[in-house]
Amino acid sequence: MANGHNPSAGVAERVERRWASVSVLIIVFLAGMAAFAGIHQATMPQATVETIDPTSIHLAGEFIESNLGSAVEGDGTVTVRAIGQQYSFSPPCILVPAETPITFRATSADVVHGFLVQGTNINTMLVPGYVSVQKATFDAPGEHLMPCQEFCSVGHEGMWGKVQVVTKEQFLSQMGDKRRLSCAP
Amino acid sequence: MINSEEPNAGPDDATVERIVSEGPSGAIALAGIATAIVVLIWVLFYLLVFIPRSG
Repeated sequence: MANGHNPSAGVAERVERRWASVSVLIIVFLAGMAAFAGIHQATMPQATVETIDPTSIHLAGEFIESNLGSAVEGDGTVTVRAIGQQYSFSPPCILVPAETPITFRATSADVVHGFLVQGTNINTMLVPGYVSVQKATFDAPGEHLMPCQEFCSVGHEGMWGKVQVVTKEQFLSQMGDKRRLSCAP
Repeated sequence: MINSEEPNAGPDDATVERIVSEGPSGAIALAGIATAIVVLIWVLFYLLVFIPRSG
């Protein structure tokens, strides 16, 4: 009951209005944090949509076999290209340097797969026809498991790769004059 | 009527009006503390777990 002549009703209305304001402020704060993280690409959804023809990725373009793995870009960052297919990742072992901005570019050759690097926020789907892009920086050398996290049929549980993080010096010395690098046997 | 209270058993309207007009300070304290805890946990998780794991 909100009539102006009843003082207790006026108090209740004032309290409710203030509480609503607090709630709106909290929502604005959370939305602001989400927007900030999204703009700085700290969150999982990527900002752009890139399409690719899944029937010809093995024949031409950036996902041909000789182009998969880690590549050093002109600005010193590293781009990793990978493919998920039933039931493995190519390359099955990804080699990256620590303390270096890494861009993962991956897609699927057949059905929907998952691309997840344990211990990091890298977690995306590999959808045939689309290129998934994830940026990350690994602080320290180590090994991370990279299992497929989308059920992709009967061999799904055996589909996993790994990400090996080495120091920048080790990475560059292994890179040598190679165009692309991986730790696949 | 059976089981009805005595008309004069409870506090009178003036007393109720006086208490209610002071505002629901207990409810504000309870809801405020609960909300603050939830927001604090969110911020701590965001800063101490989520951000260190991302690029």
